[in-house]
Amino acid sequence: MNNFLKEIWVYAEQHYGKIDKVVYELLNKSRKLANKLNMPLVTILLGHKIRKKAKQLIIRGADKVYVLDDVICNDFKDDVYANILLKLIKSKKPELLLFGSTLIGKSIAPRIAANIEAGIISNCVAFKLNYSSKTNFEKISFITTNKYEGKKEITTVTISKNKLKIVVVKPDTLIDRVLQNRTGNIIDIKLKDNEIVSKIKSLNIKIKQQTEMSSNIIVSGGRGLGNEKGFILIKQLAKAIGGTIGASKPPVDLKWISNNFLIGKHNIVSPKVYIACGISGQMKHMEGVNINNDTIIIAINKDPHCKIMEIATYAIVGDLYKIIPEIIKEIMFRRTNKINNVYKK
Amino acid sequence: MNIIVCIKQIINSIINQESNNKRYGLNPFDEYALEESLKVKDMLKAKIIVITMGTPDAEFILRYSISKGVDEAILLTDNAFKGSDTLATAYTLFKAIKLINNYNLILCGKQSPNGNTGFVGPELAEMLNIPHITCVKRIKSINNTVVIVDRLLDIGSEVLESKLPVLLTITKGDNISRLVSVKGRILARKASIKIWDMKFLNMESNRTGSLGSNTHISKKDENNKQKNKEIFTGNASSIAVKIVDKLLENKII
Repeated sequence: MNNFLKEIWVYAEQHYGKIDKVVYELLNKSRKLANKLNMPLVTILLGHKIRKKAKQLIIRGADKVYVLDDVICNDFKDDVYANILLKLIKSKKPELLLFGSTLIGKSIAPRIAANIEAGIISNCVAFKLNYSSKTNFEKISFITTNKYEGKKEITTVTISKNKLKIVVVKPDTLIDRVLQNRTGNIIDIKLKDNEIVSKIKSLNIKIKQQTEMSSNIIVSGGRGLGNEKGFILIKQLAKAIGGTIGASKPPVDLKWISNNFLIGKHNIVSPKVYIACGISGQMKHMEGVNINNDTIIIAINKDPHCKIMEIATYAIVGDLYKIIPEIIKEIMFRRTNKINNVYKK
Repeated sequence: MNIIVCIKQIINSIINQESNNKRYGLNPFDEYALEESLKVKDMLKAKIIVITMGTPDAEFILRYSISKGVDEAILLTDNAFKGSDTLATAYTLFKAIKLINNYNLILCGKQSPNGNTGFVGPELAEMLNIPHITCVKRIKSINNTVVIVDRLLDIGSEVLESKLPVLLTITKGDNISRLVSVKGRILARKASIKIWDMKFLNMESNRTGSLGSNTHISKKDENNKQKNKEIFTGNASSIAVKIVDKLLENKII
């Protein structure tokens, strides 16, 4: 007996008016699922002065957007957001609730799960549908990945039938497909006065320097560049690949590049892809790079034995002044000719 | 000040130096949580209780915690706990904490390596009906009513003040884990560990273990063909072609 609302809900994370890119990718993935299951795709948008952004979600696949535009949602607070989301979920009872795998998603999702005794899964990379002729329902299972003890584990997980399914989904491509003329409904939610009280106060917030380009890809330069002209190459590669630039300490000390781009202990980055050019990989620099199970490190260095070559996913041995221009050329070539080496999952 | 630290034993490649039994160790994130609790104890009068839900071997990490300076240790162990997902685990910890009853601060490691979910902390906070803050790099200050922390966000970092009691999940900060003293080692050997099972916690069997879990693993594959190291040498243009193939393959471009 399943009295859930047959809808797929996606939490639309945003920061100070900007919707997080993982949401767009998640909408993409769940739009396909919604089509297969023939269910509407609904998103929840909490924030302040955020209502105008609701359209961004609709043109990316949402059929309905619940918007709560209130000053109390201006800053993210774990208890406030979780509370609001919980009220909405308890009143509507959707069957499937999806979050992007962000620090915020992973903070709110479990609170909701605990309150309503849902089944909650993390590290999901794909959905699998199995049609059961016996029950006449599509049974959904979730593919998750985890790296443990040096091995990559791929686990298929299901959730009990009579429980709300909450799934935290890992981003992988950050693809953003837009259909400008798509339409949908925007539903405003209002809070009653003093309905939500927070026990947490924000004293100070420090926002990492982020440019319009994706900081999911960082192209970084080190002493091996030899001189400041090396950063011209770094910037060109960053532009070609759609990333931002960074540097280790030696080039900054040598004034080849501004200290704004220094990556180290006091300026930590968490890119998906880290391209280290002429960087040896010393601890002082690498502790500025958050490396997790899925981080891809590409190193370009003359020395095949330096530290970074040991930890790189792809270690390129050679002269970066010869290699980087070739890589840029190859990327442009592929793009203009639209040649796709297809490695479909 | 009463502090509870929830820790988890892992089968590890990271070996605690003190361990005779090299198979087990403490979840590295829990190591940071432990250190934060000891830092608080350095700052003001505090009692630290450490709890773990695990197999009987988990006694090792409890004694290790005592050697570092915690005051009491409790092992939650029962065959019925086997197969617990994050919610069932959080519920078990919740029952234990309800029994302890007196606490101002609860610390957990941000996540553990064999699940990497980071869910137990927030779930536990919800069950206890207290606020929580995840990814705390360090506790800046604390008194009997509030705590001020520095926490990570995807967009940067933030300083938050929370009323007590509160649950914090701790991630890597600047702290270096303190060494174990000789006195600590002696205390750890002599310490009496409380052992609580399902009956003692007055738990229903359908709230724990695989019976109490809403998520079920239907298939587990190990993919040893990892996205592992590949080395590229040779002439620049052939390297470029190969690496751009990889970029496309990984959907980077």
